[in-house]
Amino acid sequence: MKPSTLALLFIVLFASSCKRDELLCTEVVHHNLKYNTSPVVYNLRDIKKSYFLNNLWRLTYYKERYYNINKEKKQFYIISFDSVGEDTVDINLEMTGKLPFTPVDFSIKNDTVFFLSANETGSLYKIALPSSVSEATVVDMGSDLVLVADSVSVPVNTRMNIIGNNHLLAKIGFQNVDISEQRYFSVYSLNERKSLFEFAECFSQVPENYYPAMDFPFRLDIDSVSIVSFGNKSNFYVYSNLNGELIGEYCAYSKHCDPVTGMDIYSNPDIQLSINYMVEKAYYLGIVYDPLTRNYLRIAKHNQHLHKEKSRRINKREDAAWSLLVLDDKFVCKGEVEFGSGEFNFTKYFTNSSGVYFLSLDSLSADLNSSVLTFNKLNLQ
Amino acid sequence: MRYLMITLLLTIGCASPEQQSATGIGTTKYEYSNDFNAYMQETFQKEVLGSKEYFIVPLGSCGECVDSALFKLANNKYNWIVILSGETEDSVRLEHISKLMEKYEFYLDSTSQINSYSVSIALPTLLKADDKSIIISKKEFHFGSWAEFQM
Repeated sequence: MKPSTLALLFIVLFASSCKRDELLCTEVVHHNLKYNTSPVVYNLRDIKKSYFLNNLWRLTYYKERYYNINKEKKQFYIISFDSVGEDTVDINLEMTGKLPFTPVDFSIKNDTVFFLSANETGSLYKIALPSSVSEATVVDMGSDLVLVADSVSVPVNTRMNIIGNNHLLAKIGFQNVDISEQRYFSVYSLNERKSLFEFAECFSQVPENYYPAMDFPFRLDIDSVSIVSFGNKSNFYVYSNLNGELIGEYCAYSKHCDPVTGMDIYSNPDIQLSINYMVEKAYYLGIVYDPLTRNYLRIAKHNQHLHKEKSRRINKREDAAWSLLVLDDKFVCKGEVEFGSGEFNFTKYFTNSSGVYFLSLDSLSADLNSSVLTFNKLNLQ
Repeated sequence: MRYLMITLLLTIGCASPEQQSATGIGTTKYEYSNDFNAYMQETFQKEVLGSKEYFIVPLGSCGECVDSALFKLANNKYNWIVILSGETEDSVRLEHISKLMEKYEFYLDSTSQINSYSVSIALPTLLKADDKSIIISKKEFHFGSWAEFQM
């Protein structure tokens, strides 16, 4: 075989390996499942409401406590939710501490908190609970590796996680390589201090310079698997966190979501056009794991018309109707639950051992000085 | 390259001047004068004034851009009306804000009402009104943008 033929064959093979045709989602039977919701009132004892509404939404449940970071204040919080009744909970601030860096994400594993610090080339820090945050120490990643902490455009749950046997799952690149090109996730062994493998680079099929980046991966890490999904694709991918191999390609299709690509930011440099696009178009958000039912829930925002009130105020993306695609523990879609507009904020939620809670939308519009937030617990019927 | 551009769109203030010119973003024609006027009226009960310049700082936007904007405003005196949207608890920012409150005609939109209007502002931005109180141009600010405003 001629070298040129061999090269051509290689290119064809490579291209075909990167091409992932959509599964036939139309074959998925859509049962109209029912979730009811029960409101739970949360009284903020010593935390400002704006902290919950404006802050990075990365509320993490671990051993009966909730943890979060405040990027602007460089702080780490430990919060307890104390039930005072069936539908009333007190939120208490247990500890806060100033970090010696700007945190953009964190992950807790085996009583150790790992922080990803800001800047395009980030650093990894850790503290052992319940130590003071001032005892945070930097984790030496090796001289030629850099962490890509990324920008505000990256969804929070795509940044980093500590998984499996002390492995870091994050965007890891090499020094002297253009940071903008280092967009793929790798698994790095903190024990062995070496990169183990890189997740496939074959997802993006959207033209360059498009925003919102509908093909940017949302990621959910559950035990030994990592679930990678995209705003514009019905399909999602389940990877092993142990060896990085693709375990399976699955589909969770909402009849309300047609694939969208984002906007060409060269042709449309006006930021308002992108904001309006996110308000109007339907797309998928991340996948949430419900520990109570062991279901996976994929959030799908529906289309909505952009409208201005008489006062010229415009609606927001959180005002749209939305759905939850309910998947069982084998990632088989069991059905779709639809929610109307104006009820819940599908971008702000948390989970704990008793289920999934979404913030009520009126919590956003209500008086910022009030000390009450309402979350709605989902109950699958 | 693509993700650099996406980053630029949201955090253009953090980009170099060369990158900005590549995106075509500099002083541009402003298309949302009526919406900005509605925002001013409904939030502050103020009309847009003729031949004035409005400097808007969304505190939740690109951190370096906000920090440099607050520093420059606090340590200089520009002939601008200043609007801050959002909240901050950062002690350095609060110190700058307390200084600039004494120097400028100043409005605080602590609940970020500006996000409810179609005004195309996601970064520290200077809006310029003509003598008929119509906002005609917009300039977005990153930390490098201040070179032309040194005093």
